[in-house]
Amino acid sequence: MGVFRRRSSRISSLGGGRYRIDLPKAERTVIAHIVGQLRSLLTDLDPDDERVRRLFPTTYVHDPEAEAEYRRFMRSELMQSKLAALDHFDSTIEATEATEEQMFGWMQSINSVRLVLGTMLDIGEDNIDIDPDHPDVDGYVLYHHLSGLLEEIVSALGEP
Amino acid sequence: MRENEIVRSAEPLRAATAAPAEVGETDTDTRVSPDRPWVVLVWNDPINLMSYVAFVFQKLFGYSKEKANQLMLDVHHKGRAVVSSGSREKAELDVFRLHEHGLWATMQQDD
Repeated sequence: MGVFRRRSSRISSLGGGRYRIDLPKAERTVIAHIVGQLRSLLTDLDPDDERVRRLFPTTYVHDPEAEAEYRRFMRSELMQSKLAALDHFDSTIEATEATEEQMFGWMQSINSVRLVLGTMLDIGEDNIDIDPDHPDVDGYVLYHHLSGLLEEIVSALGEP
Repeated sequence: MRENEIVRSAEPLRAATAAPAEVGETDTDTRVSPDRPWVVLVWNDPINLMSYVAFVFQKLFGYSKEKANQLMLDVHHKGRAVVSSGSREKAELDVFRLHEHGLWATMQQDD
C-alpha cells in the first residue's frame, strides 16, 4: 500500500478539535461542483440505482428477508447520514477553519464521491498509470486528486 | 484496497476471496439461532484507501493504531476480516456505522 506524498499537507490539525483548510479557491470550486453532483444523484436516484448503490451495500448477504427488513428501517437513515455529511462540507467549503465534525463531513463526502466515481470508472485493485488519451482521463485525474485530498484529511484527523 | 500512488505495483494485490454474494443466494442453514453471536465482516474493495480504512476502524471501534492497521491489512490481504462481534442489534449498528463511512460491511452469525 502506498501514501500519496505531498511536500506539506493543506489540511492540518490546530489542536482543540479545530482544523485548518488551506485549499486554493479554484480547487474548492471544482470539489464543490463534484460534491454538488453527488448530492443531486443521492436526492434524485433510488439507492438501488447502479450509479449510487455502492453507497448502500447489502447487510445480510445470506438472508433476503432480514435484508429487506433492515433496509425498511435503515435505508433512509443511511441516506440522511450521507446528506448530513454533505451539509457539513457545504457549510465549510469556503472556510479556512473547521471543527472535527465538519472535517468528518469533508472526509465522508469526498470518499462518497470517490466511491461513486471509482465505480463508474471501474477502478480496479492494481495501481494505474493515467493514460492521457483515455476518453475518461478527466475522471481519472479527478479521482486521483480526491484520493490525495482524502489522504491529507485522514492524516490531519489522525494527528494526536 | 487502494494504494494512492501512480506506480506499477511490484505484485498484483488481489482479494483472496470473492466479494460477498448479492442478496438472493440462499443458504440451507439461515435460520436465526439466538445462541450464536453475530460477527461483522468488512470486505476488501479496490476504492477505499488503506489509510482511510484503518482510520475508520480506530474512529468507530476505538482500536489502537496498531490493531486498526492490522485489521485493515487482514481485509486487504485475506479479502475480508471480522471487525466486531456481539448481539444482532450491536452488529446491525456497527454495520450501519461502517456503511456511513463507505465500507463494504456485512453481518452473519458466527459458525
